Amino acid sequence: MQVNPGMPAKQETGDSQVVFNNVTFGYGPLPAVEDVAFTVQRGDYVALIGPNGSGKTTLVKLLLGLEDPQRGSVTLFGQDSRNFNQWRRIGYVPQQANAFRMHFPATVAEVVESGEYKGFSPWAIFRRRVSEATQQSLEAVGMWGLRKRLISDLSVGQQQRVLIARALVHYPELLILDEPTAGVDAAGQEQFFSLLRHVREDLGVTVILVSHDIGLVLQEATNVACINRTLHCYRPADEITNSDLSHLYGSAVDRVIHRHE
Amino acid sequence: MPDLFQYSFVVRAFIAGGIVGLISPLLGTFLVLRRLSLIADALAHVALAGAVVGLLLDRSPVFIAVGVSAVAAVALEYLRAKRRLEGDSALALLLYTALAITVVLVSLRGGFNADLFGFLFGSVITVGRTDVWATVGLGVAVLLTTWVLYTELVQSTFDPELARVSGIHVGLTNLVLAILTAVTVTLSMRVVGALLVGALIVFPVLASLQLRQSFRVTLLVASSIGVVSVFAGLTISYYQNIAAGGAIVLVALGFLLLTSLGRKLTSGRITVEAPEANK
Repeated sequence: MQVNPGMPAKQETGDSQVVFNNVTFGYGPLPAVEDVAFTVQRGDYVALIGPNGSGKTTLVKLLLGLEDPQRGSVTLFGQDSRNFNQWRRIGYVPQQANAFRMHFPATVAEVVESGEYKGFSPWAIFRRRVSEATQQSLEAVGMWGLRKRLISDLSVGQQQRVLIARALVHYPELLILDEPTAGVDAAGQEQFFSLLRHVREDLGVTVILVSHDIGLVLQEATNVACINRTLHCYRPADEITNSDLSHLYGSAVDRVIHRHE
Repeated sequence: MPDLFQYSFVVRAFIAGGIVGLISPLLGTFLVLRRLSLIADALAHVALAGAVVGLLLDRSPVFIAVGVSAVAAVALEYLRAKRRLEGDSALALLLYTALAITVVLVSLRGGFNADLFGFLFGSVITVGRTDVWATVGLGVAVLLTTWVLYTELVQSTFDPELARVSGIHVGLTNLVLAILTAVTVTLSMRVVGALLVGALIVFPVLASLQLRQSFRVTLLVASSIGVVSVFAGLTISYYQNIAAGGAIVLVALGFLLLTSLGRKLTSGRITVEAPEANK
């Protein structure tokens, strides 16, 4: 897969793509996330970690403008999330375990092509040939050979790769993934993280990843945001300590950081 | 030419029926995949209430029915979008309110008559010249709108959040789908009757889904099954002198049984291929 020639090749440093400005939001009377503030720079690989129900997915929804903050604001590429419209700069991979979606009668190619949406087009129904972008994207995730299969026939890990191909097909600058490896086996996870490494390093895509797998995430990400309603910590991955984690997950946590083995 | 086409009322029935057979499963595919197939049933009862109002006022029942069910569809979509009511409770509320109003209006009018019976169980044979043109006009409008908004409809059905993040106006798309459904349901009421509208919207889609094809093919096959069911049902009804609406729905059911059986028979033989690499 090649980098889109229209995309700025130079990696400006100090260029913030996402800014959370003291964001508070809740579905009921209690806030799901409270007073969260952090900034994601171009080229970062940010992992959002935290226990179940800690507000990680809510942060993603706020980031994508699917929910509006009750206090504070989210800025994407310098634009407020409430009226954001530069959708082609963003790729989004939703939570995997969604049976509703995966029983949809669509081929792998149809799903990936849908990511190429460029706005209203009355002739879209006639598009028959698989586009070059779709082919490149499917090749990048190793799914080109399965392009004619129905997504419901694939394994969870393969479905995940199709959704990543869909998110990458329009050459986004920022890729947002919500628990992409849930339900994926160990081999699939390894493939997934190496794919993500390639996306980030070779295509220069900024990555924001919600994950449960703390061990892997601490090795892969550049920055870690610890969320449990409020932001407990936000720092480079190699500065995250065991005490950060036990603070975040409670004392019961028995995960150990094997960094200097 | 088969002798049944010598009568202009049969020709009109085939034209109106063909249009309805085409667009019902077309929209039905989106509704079934959104788990909203019961919306057709609810809107059919609203359309029925509208038609009864039309009969009472002695105005064109079909146009009043289209208007009333379109308003109901928009209201339903609004409640759904605002999360005021969960899906099926809103549908139940609408369906039974419409039915209660219908019953009250019918009692005001002094009981059932042939017209009302026609709206309940279909009366495609009595479709007049004006009604055929109205059906063709509205049917073509539904067809063109679905065609033009194909991507938006497919994506908002596949995953609404993903669609929004692709820049699609999902709320507007859902609103259009609701209005298209209202129009389709009302036209369909004339052919198979308010009580069977849901069947013509759902059965061909379920049959098509058994074939496990791409989305495009699923849509095409569902619509084809709809048209063929209507034509076959009308023909059987003409020669055997049985109710057209029921015959149409039973033919569609036949397709569903056939494709399910076909799937059962073939699925045993399909070998699981190893995942191929890129080639």
